[in-house]
Amino acid sequence: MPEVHANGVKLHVQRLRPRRPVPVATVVFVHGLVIDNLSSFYYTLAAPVVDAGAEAILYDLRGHGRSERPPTGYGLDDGVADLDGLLDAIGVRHPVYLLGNSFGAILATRMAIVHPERVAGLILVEGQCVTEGDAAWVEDMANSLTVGALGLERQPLPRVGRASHRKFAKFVHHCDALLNGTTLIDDLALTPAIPARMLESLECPVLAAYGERSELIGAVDVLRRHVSNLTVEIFPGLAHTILADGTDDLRDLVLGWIDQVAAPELAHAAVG
Amino acid sequence: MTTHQTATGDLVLDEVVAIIADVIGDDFLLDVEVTAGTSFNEDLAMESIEFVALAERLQDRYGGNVDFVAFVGGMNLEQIMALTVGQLVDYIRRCATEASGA
Repeated sequence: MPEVHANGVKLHVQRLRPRRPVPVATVVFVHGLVIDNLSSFYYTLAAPVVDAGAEAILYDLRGHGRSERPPTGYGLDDGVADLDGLLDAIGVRHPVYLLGNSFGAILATRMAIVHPERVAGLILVEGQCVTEGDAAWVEDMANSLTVGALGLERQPLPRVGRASHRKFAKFVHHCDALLNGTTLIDDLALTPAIPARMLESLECPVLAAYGERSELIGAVDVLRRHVSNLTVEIFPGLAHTILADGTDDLRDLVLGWIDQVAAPELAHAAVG
Repeated sequence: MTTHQTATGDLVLDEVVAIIADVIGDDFLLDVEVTAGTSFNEDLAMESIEFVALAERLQDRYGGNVDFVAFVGGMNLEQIMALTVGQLVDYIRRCATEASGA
């Protein structure tokens, strides 16, 4: 397993390179919280991105997938420091496209604000805009996770003797260990909101994709008010899970946008 | 790498079974005899993140001749997890044959 030491934690990374010698772009995928890991991208968008000539870098957030699960360090700025350290550790110096899903979109946005020199573009899939007006959402999320954590504490773990129970048992163990064995809930509850004026500081192009029936659809208005270089795509009939339920349309959208946005940079690089 | 699995005489199958045992842990395989007909989801209850690790290990073992990203790129997650060990072994063997020009 490719492990990278970054910001004091071991992170599981998958780096998928295209067959062409010079990738058209580098796309770093940032997954969502608790029940998610890099595999949700590995089986959906990563292969098409590589097939289109870009490099795909996927990693498990701390505490998730096959990355280390330290007891602390789950705030948004910890996640930014992890990603910053990861890019350093694998020697990626050029600006990358960050593609974040759900919480990963918030983390990607924060990364672009804190380290604008590292981000060529943002692809936000169902990302909550945690501005001042939406600060209650952070509390809601922390409360929801707390309810889940209490439920896990009371739920007896199934016996792990038979293969049919194995996946569920591992899933329950992972969620229990992450929610009850780390400071993740407390850290997220303390996560500062991203002020709208900081969204206005985003200079890179932003693609935002939302499901028409998503409870986060209100973020579109916030983004439109505060992000200048913005493209929005709304998926009819879908809710929060557009990565899973609208994979083909999302793939086409992402590939088309990267091609459009990255092409001038490529031309510039070729001339330079 | 350790495995309790009995060698079948099929080199590729034996190697794949050994790598599976290494990825998901020998203790989970004590009651399961892994054969070509064993499915990753139904029989091994393999997690999707474990299949990523398996693909990577196989890529390391078989090198550039076997493109697992392209292999899974043609399927959705449901189709991938419904694969049997034998189908994966067949793909590896097919790639090796094509690479050797046979």
